[in-house]
Amino acid sequence: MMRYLGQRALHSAIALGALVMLVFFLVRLTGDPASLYLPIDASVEQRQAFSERHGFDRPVLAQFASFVGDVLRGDFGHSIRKDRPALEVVLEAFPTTLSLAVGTMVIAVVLGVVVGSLAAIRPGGMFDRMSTLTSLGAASAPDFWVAITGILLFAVALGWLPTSGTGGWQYWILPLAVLSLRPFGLLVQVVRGSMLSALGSAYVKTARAKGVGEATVVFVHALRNSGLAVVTVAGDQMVGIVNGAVIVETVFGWPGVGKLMIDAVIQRDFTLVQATILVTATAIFVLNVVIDLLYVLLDPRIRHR
Amino acid sequence: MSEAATLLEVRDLRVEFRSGLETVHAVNGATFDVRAGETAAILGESGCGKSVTAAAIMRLLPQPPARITAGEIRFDGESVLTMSRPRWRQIAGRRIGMVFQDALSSLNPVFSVGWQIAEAFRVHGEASRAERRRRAIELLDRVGISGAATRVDHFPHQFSGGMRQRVMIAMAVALGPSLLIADEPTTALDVTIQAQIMDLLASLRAEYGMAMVLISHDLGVVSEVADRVAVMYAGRVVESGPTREVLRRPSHPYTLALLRSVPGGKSKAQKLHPIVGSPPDLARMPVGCAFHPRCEMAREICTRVAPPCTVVEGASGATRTVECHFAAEVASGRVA
Repeated sequence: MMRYLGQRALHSAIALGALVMLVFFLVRLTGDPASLYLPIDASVEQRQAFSERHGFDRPVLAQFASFVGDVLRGDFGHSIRKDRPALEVVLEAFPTTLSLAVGTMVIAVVLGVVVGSLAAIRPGGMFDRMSTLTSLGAASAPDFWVAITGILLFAVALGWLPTSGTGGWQYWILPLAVLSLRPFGLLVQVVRGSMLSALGSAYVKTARAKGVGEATVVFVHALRNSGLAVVTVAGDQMVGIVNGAVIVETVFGWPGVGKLMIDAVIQRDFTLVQATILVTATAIFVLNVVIDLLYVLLDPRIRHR
Repeated sequence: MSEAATLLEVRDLRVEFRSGLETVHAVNGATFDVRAGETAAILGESGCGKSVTAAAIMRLLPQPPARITAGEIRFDGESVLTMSRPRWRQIAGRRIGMVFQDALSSLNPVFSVGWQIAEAFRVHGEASRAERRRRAIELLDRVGISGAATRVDHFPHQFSGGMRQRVMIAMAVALGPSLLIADEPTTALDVTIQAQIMDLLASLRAEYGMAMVLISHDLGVVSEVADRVAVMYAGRVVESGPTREVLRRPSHPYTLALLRSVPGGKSKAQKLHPIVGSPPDLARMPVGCAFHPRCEMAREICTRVAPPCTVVEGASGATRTVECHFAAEVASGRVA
């Protein structure tokens, strides 16, 4: 177990290193921050002074070396725009995104598993056809469009929900609904497929021959065998959201990691971009380990290998 | 032979599968009885409808595509096909146990074998949690799994093929059923293991006083363990009666051909006689006797008229039923 975790951490560290390098150099190709931060008529001396103060005048490789050194010491740098430590800014935004992600996944997994399982009980039946149609729609609807349409309908036209921002539970409904659509649709499809094969399997026949009731056959015998598929899809979708639900956070004005990253890129806040990426990458590493542990928990065949 | 009460009655069972434009007639009027405490075998080639018949008895046919179009199945006097689902659930597992062919896929891979055996007690509302576990261990021990107390927590993939089949058997007999249906229980196993499993089934049958329906294509196994045998061909029972009688003096050309196709069987000569041709396409059944295209002694009437079920008196006075126009001639050996 420890060996596995160590291996996982090493792989992630290598991937993280490559990522940081890539981001560090790419973000510096977007242009000179001095031209963005200083007034248009700033003198050459003023620009020079700005660059010197933030170290942008040094060779890029030298900048990179000191960045790596700082990160290893736990210093993620200072956000130019916010004038605060970059890490602090990111960690402030992170819980918002995380709660959005967790809420979304709870809704999507519960609904997806229930609808997908029920659809598999009578393939080709009315419920199955309805749920296939709905889930395909949910999985393929573009979220920016759904988000904006949702605001127009429920916030502007009907006035039931706030348009954007954070606050009470009303503020959660639209973002969660929009974010859940895609994972929900995918999960319905995946659960339906794996439940179909599980329900046609020999061990389900054995259970029925034992006198096990239909509900237990479906939601215990078959569903437990579909656990891996659920974890795979749900995990993948969760990683996507933790990575920054950029569009939804932007449309609904949620101060999460996705919005923070977009703002940082637009404002050429190099340190903030780097800190955001490092933090989310670490979170995704942790998430992947959790997913692997779930696999082991769900399938004894993996456990005993 | 003392006449024990009839436990299972299958009457004129007809099952068809609809797929696309075709209708496959898997079972075409199968009729047989199983008496309490006896071992009855259903013998036939693959595709003759023997497993479908077993699935129909256990109400395990997927409907659709399967459809039971006619016939009746009575267990202990009650109609299986028309009884309510709650009533059936009291019988499945408790009064009828079933052992399947492939124990690996027939055991749920994500639950421990102990859990799966204990479930039999749980669904029938038997015993406390600790008691269920104790009885699961006891059963594992009874079916010959050593170290049952630790093995009870292991998962199916940690057992060998023969051991898995033992687990299946433990599960099937957990509640002491009066009927055990074993659908090709040894087909997926090594020959040496096959004998062990058959011995286990036979000793459990005697111990619990169960009746057993053994579904098999293996003449050797059937001749060893079965009191009576029903030979199936193209979804019908073409000959049935006491195993000794049927195998010693077959009255149906198909039974005869089966015996002659097996090494060390009826054949005097060393040469084997495979049955020519192949089983009929069950979507396009031949008119008349279903076996006539492959029958060495088919005559004109066989191509027109399906043979009626005739009762033939055996040497020992025991009777058997045969579906052949020329049963008497076949039985008396007046054939090529």
